[in-house]
Amino acid sequence: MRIADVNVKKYTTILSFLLLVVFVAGLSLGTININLFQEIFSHHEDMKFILQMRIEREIMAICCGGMLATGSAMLQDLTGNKMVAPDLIGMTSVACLLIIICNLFWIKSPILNELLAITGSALGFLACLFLAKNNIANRLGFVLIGVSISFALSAVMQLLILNAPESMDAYFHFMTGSLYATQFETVLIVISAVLIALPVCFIISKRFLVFSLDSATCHSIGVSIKTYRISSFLLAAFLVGSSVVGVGHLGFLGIVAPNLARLMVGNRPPHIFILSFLVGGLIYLFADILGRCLISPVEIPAGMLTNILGAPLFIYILFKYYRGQYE
Amino acid sequence: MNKRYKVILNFSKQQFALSIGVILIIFLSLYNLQYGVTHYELPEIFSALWHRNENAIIFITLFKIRLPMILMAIMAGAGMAIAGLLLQKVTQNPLACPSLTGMEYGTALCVILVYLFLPNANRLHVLCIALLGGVFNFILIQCLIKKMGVSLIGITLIGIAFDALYFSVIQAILIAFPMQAQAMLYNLNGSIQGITVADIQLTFIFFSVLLTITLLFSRRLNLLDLDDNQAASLGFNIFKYRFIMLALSLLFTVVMTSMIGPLLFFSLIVPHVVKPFSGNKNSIVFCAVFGAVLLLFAQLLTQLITPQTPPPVGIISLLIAAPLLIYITRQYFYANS
Repeated sequence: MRIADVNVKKYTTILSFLLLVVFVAGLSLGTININLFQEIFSHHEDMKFILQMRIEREIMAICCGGMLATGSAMLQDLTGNKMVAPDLIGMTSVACLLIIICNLFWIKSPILNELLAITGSALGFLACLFLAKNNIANRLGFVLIGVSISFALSAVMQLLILNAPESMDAYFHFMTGSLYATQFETVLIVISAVLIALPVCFIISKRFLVFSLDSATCHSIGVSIKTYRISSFLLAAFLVGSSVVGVGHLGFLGIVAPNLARLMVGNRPPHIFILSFLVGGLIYLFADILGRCLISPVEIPAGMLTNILGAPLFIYILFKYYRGQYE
Repeated sequence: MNKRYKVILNFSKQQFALSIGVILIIFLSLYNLQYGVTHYELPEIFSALWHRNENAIIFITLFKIRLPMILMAIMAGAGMAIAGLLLQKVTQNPLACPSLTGMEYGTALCVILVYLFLPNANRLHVLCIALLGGVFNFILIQCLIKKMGVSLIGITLIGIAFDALYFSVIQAILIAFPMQAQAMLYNLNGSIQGITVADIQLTFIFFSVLLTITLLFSRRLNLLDLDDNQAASLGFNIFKYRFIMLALSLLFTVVMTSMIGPLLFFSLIVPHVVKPFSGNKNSIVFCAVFGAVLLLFAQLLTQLITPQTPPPVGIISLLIAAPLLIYITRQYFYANS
């Protein structure tokens, strides 16, 4: 137990440090490279503007990637299935679809988007659960139903966007998880969501180990497992929905980040969520910076790069998983 | 008496379903000829066919633009359905389909890379290189699966992972090198817009050869359900047949995907949809016919929804396929609960 605690501290420190380094490096890299040490003390308005844009964007990347990863870790705990992710069980696509429909046919407002996204992700999970006849013990069936929901809805989204009166670019990020042209209001909403959700998550998740017990045992030790289930479900929907508002449909991060965190410290609820947050934020931030720098004037959406980075990581995780080196 | 009656009924049920399929193909083809940006009535179509005025707009629209699309839809639907069926039989995995082994997007990636580096390549070159890419992909993924020895969920998730990986790489390439990006984007989702007569000729050669070989082997198809020991005790070389069927499935996938792009779950669901009618016999013919019906129907829907800017047929077929996949999953995994 003590060794594991040391591990948690070690990994948290390393990841936070890496996150800081990548954050600072990301400020100076991009289409225009900025020498930070000179610009902090100078008074170029353009440079300040660019820096401000980049700071907003990077904070958004860390918050959204982290929230998605944490929400997904929570879902995995809740369903007892480590191969579940919000994008694989249709949560993110329902949320994206609701936002796109509302924006196309009604009004655009970031706060409404947030509400819609949270409802959407909750609805997505419930729909999946309903279609799977409330039986999450069958892992493959659950994932397959989720994948088909998610693919069908993304097809609907493509149809809507193809025939949208405005240009495709306005909704492009909902399909690809891009951080291009983030709005200040959205950044504020996402930051406040993180500030609300993370402490709550840390407080209530201490008891999430009960998910590994069966209901009879829970009953006998006097734990109401239903309360924990509902609260963790609501929290997960909140986390996933808030990340969708910021970056849209983001593939693969949800399955990769929590499992990487588990490979580091094992499955221990309060720590796993913080580590997932750090890992998710780091991967997404890194992907975003890479997407800005690879082919400089043009930008590869960060969601695509998370896919490209995520697939090998996922294969690695499966490798560990099925070789039994997994808690 | 009773027995004979049963045999006749069984026989006629299959025949009945098949003939309905063929009639549906004919009707859907006619509807596809009619609908589009301009709507033609049937008498107009027949008179255009009768007069054969090669320069009239109606002749060009009907027989140079719409007819190739219809033929392509028929061939692609049949081909992909057969590919899915063969793959499911060979791997003995009811959820196997070419897109879940990374073959479809792998092939699409190859096609796009060829167009990127050799802008003057013709379809045949593209096909050959795509074939190499598809085979390489398949071997890579099968090696990964063998090495890990994963369960069904692992195999499915690896397939989805590779799909997402290739899809992202393709999109990144398209963003980085905007060459005919719109056309390429359509190709990603499986579109039969802009198929020419030359493409049809090339595809038809491959398709007819592959279909003939498949039908020749169709009697042996159910023998693939045996395991190694049973096959050995029957004196039946199962490895040879597995290899042949696998090669056929790969070839079908690569040929069709390099022509029209990935169709995702299409080839997974068709064998399951036809199973109630076909039983275990003649499933190849049933798959071919009803695959063609399904894709023609999807193509008709694309023309009906928005004739001016028809969406890619892959999106519509995905919309049809996804609820069916949910249904199949419920049948398979939740039948008892």
